[in-house]
Amino acid sequence: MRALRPALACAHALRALPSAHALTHAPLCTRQPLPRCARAMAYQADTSLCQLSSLGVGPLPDATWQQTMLRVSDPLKSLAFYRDVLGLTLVDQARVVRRSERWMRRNALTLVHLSV
Amino acid sequence: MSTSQYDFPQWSFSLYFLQSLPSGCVYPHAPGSDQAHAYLWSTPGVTLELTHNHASSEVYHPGNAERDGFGHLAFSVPDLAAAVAFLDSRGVLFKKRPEEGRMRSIAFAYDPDKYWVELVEREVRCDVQGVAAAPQFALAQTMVRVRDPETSLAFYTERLGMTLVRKAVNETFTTYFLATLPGGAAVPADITGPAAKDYLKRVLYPASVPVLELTHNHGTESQPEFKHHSGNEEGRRGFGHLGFLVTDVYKTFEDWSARGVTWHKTPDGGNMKGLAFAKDPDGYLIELIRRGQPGKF
Repeated sequence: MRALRPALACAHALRALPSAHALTHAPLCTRQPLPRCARAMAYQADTSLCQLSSLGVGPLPDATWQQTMLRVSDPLKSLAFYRDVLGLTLVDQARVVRRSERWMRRNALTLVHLSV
Repeated sequence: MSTSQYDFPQWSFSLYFLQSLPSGCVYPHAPGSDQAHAYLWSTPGVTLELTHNHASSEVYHPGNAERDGFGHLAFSVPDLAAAVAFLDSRGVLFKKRPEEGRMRSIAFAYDPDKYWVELVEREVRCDVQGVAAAPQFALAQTMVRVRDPETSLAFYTERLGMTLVRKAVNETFTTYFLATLPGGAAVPADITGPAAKDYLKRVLYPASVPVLELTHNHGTESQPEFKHHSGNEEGRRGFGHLGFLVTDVYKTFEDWSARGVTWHKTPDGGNMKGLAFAKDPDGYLIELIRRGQPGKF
């Protein structure tokens, strides 16, 4: 039963949230021995959720602070600093490419002309 | 021909999300994967979002000049001298070393864009049992300056549900520390006393729970025309916004609008439907994202 307690603790936190936080996308821990929240990750709970649930048993507010955004001029240098020196984990990344429909239409026509 | 020829690099950008995970944890997802997106849009933890605008030669403004609102990020460390020595060995530059100036217990390093990165000391062990140990450097603070603490505190506690955990009064300025915490958290009753300082140093920082630090320079509250730069003005772009997950962006939009909150982007405005940017009392952008949102990118 003892081994189940971490999972129960996080299940409690999950119930307390205003909407379902995924239990299925959690960091895994490798070192032993680990405290409750780290062990809980083996049960696929969110680390931050478990840490917060240790600080108080009530629900989280509907709005939860999730990010601070800074613009950076060279992502390689920034990742070298924040990830490789300060040790933060890169949890996600995205490349968002914008295209202009008008530009595409205009240039598609040009291409047709060229190909004729 | 390749569709990439239609790309507009000046309008394209990359985003990188970084988080302080407890020491000894291995993050199982590949950044950019669906699993990583699902994790990102459901975690109640705080991430640092780095935005790189492609093909931009803009030099971003690190804040801390005349009327700049954004101040710094902070990381907590168990041993300040050891952390400084480590950063020295990695060639990191410092604005303020611990021995410089009056405040020996903190240091300020520069990130590659010259943003200020404060180092603060924490206890190694969290006073609360069961919490996994923080990594060597744990994301601990985002600091912005506010003109009028009364309206700002009302916004962050009532609209965003944050908890005021500490108020530190100095001669010319006062700092307020807020965090997203669950109900029943053992926040000290006296937020100005030593127990409140300890709550940061012995509980929140060792648990890798960051705080939002609002700095009030005394006197600005009585100058209605006083305005901080939000970080999004031409020539002052750098700090972008604070982002929050909510259950329902549209409902939050209606609730806040009824209470007089103004908007930079409404949920149905612009291209990205369902995403909103509110303005806090100083004009800082507050991004609202639906919790659990699949495939946001």
